[in-house]
Amino acid sequence: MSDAEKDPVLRRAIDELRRLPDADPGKVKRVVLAAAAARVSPADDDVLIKPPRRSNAPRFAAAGGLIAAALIVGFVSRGAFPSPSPAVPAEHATPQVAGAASPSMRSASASSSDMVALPQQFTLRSAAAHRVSVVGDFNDWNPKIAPLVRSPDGVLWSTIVPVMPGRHLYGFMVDDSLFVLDPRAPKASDPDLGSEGSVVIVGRP
Amino acid sequence: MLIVTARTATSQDASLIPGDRDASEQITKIVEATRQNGLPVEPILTKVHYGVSTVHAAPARIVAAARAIASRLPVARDALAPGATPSDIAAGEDALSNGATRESLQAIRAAVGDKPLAFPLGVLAQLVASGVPVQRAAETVVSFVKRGASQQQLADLGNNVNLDVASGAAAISALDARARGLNAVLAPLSAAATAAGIAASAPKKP
Repeated sequence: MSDAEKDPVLRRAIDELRRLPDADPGKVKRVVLAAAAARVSPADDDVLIKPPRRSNAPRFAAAGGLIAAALIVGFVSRGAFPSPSPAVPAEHATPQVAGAASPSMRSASASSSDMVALPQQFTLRSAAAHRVSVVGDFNDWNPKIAPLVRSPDGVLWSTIVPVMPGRHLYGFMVDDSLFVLDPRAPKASDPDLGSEGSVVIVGRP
Repeated sequence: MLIVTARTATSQDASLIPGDRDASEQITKIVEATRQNGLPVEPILTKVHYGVSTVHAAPARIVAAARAIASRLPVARDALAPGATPSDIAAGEDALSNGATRESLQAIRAAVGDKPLAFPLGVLAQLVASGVPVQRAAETVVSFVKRGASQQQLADLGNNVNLDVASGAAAISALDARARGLNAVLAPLSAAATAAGIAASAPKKP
């Protein structure tokens, strides 16, 4: 018995083949020629010629598992599988570990360097403020996510926030209640609510 | 299971627009319908949160905004098909809300190819929001993308046009001036195409 015939799977396949009626040699030749013509790369030859190696089985199984896992992750990350949770309030939808990246961007497939959040510095001069945070569509307008730090001289507040490439509306929340625009940034009106915000277009340098 | 679902929905209704159960339920329905259509719901939820927590808009206005976004999302997805990511669709929706058209989104998609669209669509939105006619804005973005302008250069273009307009310039004049500045530092289209390995479009001699 050859090595191949010791393999239970191959043995079952051989048994099944033996039960088939005798093949027409002409048809077999046509099938073989068609298969040869359909080969797309020399790598196929290696697969056909090399004797089966039992040690490959776990590797193929592991590779299959990895491919399946990658597909599942890919589908989930692209939103192909619906999320089991229904509508979630925006403030609860912001993960703790995702920094300030926009949720719409977070759910996108990170298929290239263009989809990597880029550090963006926000600064505001205010000697009177006690607390300042930057709020924008990149952090669900949540003032708890990105507080600014006061400089030693007590005038300049700043923070660095990872923001996905694109156009973002933002502003500063001062002392938890006062929404102020960035005096050094372009401004735009929100077309739906009519309110004004500062605008930043984030892109790779 | 039903009880859990109902409880979840109730807690969401209460938290979406605090103090207005009817408006919250309307938002929930809009969000669920959007989700069932396979569209990203984050633009809606982010706008609701913005309206509630930052600008304290009236509930009816927030509901109207959510409905408007929900109506633009499928337009953006179709214009950016095939293969638009949620962030592409969100950026397309934002551009549409600022006055971009389906055709302008399609033009950007064609120019950018398979790359992410959030950035060029953001520049388009910024130009249109600054008052640049949409066709001219789209042509400008497409042209500079094809010529290999960096993202920083395009961002500067959008921001500078906005600041020029804010300081009193006409939008078209501002765009012309800023585009001239960018033109001066970019290679001609044919050179950029050659560098990128794209065949020149000049007619062949017989």
